[in-house]
Amino acid sequence: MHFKTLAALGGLALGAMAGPAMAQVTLNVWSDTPRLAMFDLYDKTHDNVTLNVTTVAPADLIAKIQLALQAKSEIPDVIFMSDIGYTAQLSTRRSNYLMDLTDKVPQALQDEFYPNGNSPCHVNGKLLCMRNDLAHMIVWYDKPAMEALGKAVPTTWEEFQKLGEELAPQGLSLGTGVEAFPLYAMLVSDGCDMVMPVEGKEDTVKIDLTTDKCLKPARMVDAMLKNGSLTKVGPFEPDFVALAKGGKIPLMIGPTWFGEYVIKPTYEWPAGKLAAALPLKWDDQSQPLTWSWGGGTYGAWKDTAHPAEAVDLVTWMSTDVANQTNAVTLPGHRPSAEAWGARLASDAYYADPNVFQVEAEAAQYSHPGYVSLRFSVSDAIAKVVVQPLASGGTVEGALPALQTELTNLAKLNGYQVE
Amino acid sequence: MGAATTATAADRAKRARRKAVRDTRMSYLLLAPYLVLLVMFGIFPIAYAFGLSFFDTIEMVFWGFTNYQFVFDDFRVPASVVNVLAFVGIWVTMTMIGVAALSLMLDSINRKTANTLRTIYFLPGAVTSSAIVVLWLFVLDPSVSPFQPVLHTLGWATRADVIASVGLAGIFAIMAYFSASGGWIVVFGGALSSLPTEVMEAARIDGANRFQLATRIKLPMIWRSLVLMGILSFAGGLQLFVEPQLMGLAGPQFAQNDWSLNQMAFQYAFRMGDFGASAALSTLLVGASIVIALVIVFATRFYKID
Repeated sequence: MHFKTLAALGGLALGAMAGPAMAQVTLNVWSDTPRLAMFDLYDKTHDNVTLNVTTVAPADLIAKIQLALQAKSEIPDVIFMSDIGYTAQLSTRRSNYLMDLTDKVPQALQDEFYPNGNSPCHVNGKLLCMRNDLAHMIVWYDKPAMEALGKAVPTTWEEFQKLGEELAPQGLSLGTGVEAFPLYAMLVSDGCDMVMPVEGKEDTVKIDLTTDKCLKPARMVDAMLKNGSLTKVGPFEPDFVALAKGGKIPLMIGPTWFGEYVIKPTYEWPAGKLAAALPLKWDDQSQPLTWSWGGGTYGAWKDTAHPAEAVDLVTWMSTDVANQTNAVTLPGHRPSAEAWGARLASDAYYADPNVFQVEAEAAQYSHPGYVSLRFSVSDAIAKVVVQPLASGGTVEGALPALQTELTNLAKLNGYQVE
Repeated sequence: MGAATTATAADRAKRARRKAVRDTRMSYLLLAPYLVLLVMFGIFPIAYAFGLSFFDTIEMVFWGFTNYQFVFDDFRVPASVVNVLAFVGIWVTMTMIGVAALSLMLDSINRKTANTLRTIYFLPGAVTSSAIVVLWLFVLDPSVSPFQPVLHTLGWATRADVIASVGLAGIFAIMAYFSASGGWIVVFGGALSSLPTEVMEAARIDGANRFQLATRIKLPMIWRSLVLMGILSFAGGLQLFVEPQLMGLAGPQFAQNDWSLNQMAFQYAFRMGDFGASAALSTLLVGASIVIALVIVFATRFYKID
């Protein structure tokens, strides 16, 4: 015992002495632009590690990793993944990049994440990444405008549809009906089995779009597109931006990052307007079930020369409170999120100081089926559902084609379909 | 005297032969840089892809036709064959008619104006095709387009309306037409100006007006070049990639990741990491292009000199 302590002390002393001469480790990092400042902070606060950060366009990440793996050179040690699908796509036999973090990140730390916060990082029972930010859908609204209209903020999808019906004649709408992700979110809000993982079975998904759980939301979207209460343009198209700037969209369904990232900078809502409410539920649901749109993750290369440092970087990026406090997006790590929320509460921009509380409370309703898949369901929705809408199609009418497309895609990518 | 003449003739023949050998050598020397590049970036990659298409690229074991089987079994491939053929059909027709009509019209007007117009037509071709796509995404969006009144008259309020009405194949054909036809118009300007003036004079003396001159005299004389352009465009059109790939820039609801065959090859390699399947599909595409090239050479007897 004494001997061990002594040895440990000796080791410490040696370590301390060797400190300045300690081998400098360089990690190659591929990041997107919003994460650069965070990587920079790690570099500054960690003397033993130097980060060599390269900015990679988020959409090109997979292609560039494939090239690097094929060339067996310039493979990054740590990456930021803007799309949760990348985790599954970078852990296949053909693109085996990601390190298994299951035993490398302490369980206690994993437990500090919001419920389902790390579900996009679990692939077949292994933890392959760490979540940077949550991106579940909530209700964003213009508080003074809703008050002037004399309307209550809806809490159910039925109320949402009714509100749309009442406001449409005044030229107002409640967000988009044609962008794949919001549409996806509405379609699965009642538990529709649109490529949902099957508990306990590896690489198995359930696809059944024929149930009432799918048809009900599809009919709602069709009705709202028809009466104009959902727009036929996507949220980043100039027409939509003009509507949002002109106060024609008093309320919309959007992910948690919409406030800081879209409504404030792109829709340019002035201070004192924006407020948030809990996600909607259907009348027959006991609580909301909310889908997400994005939420980035960090992963490490399984064959990195510096596994300990790479894991430390991934962990630090996703869970260091001082770092995450200044992030643009809601952290998935609860203690970080609380510090982030305190910053938000003191921001005079919001019409309601409780925006963070709403986002945090909504996190518990986050859909457990929001996981990483080897193919993109939202791309399939854009192709099979959204594009035919412009030539008179309906969402309900496109569901059989979507079922076929998704089933084919799932099988092509090696999934068992139930 | 006679002997001397023979000697001179033999000398001359020898000198001519030597000159011919020198010329041949010189031509190979001049061709060399092209040949080197052709082998490095054309022939070698094709041979490499051909080889790769029979292997599992992870374990590097011989797979026979497994990769080809995978491509044929992919439900997206038949759809993209139809897409690409629709695009090629529209684009080649537009190019043949448009380029021929514009070139003939330019040839019948005052030379200075024609040259200015040719340069203007060529300008979009000097812009890279990726930039052309972005440009067209704005032109075709009724809310920001400079041709807004035209689009509104046609009853199109959103970009989705335009795409639904014109069709993706038509939109990509328009994009490709504006980026590629200017170059061809310049080429045909050259071809038309080199037509023998005495033929034109004779036709004019016989009373042919400008229209008759263009359709009855000039068009038959440049017909073969037009066919060549059509076939080259066809082969090029099969490789369609940039236009659909960049549609996502207009917003995720417009993304077309598996519209064309070349995109499928890209998806296999760079989304799924399946370089074998990608090589198999690419080999099939090269095969189609080679068949088309053989058609040019033999069926139209293109290299035959009249």
